[in-house]
Amino acid sequence: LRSETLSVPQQITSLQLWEEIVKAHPRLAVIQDQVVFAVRQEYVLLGDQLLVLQPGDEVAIIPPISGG
Amino acid sequence: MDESEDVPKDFIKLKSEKLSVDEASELVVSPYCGAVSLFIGTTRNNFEGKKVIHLEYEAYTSMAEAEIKKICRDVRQKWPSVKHIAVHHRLGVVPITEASVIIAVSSPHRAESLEAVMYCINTLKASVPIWKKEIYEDEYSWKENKECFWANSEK
Repeated sequence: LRSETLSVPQQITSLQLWEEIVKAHPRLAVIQDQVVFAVRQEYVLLGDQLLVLQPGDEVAIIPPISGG
Repeated sequence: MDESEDVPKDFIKLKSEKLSVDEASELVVSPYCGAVSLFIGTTRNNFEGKKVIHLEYEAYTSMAEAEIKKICRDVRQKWPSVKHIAVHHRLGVVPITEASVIIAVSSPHRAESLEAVMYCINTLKASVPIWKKEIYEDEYSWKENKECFWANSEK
């Protein structure tokens, strides 16, 4: 699975958003400590940060990187 | 003097073809600059005693380009005399000893371009969403940079 569309509340913390995603894909729970989000291509840690999302916003789950 | 030579440029490329040091140098060379500094990241043939057959790179391309642009912007804030910057990263399969990344920076004098190149590669490894998979003889491994600012390596 590379991408899918989810419906979530417009205002939601990043941790709550993670929990919504894990409801749909429970196997992701094990990587919670290793990932961050990119919301509209800006990094967001999983936590209390309040997100204000618009329809069509792209949220990416980013595992530890290894470029260069 | 051609006025367009004065405009500093960032050359950012993510591509699956073989990278060229000549191409990167020629992009950043400038008659106003006495220094071009280069970093080439090449693929090693071993990791912890295992033989590496080749590497494979993937990127979240749109964000990777945006993050590299941010790095270029930061370079110009820290070293205002830097003229041109080229960051070329290869995607897909990279055979052993070939380049996976080339960074080239030009500046009037050498100190700034040398420092800027080091900053570019260090920051790229910490923040640009690109992933490397090492292919060994019997298995493979997705790598994690120690510079990655969110990876919890104690786990």
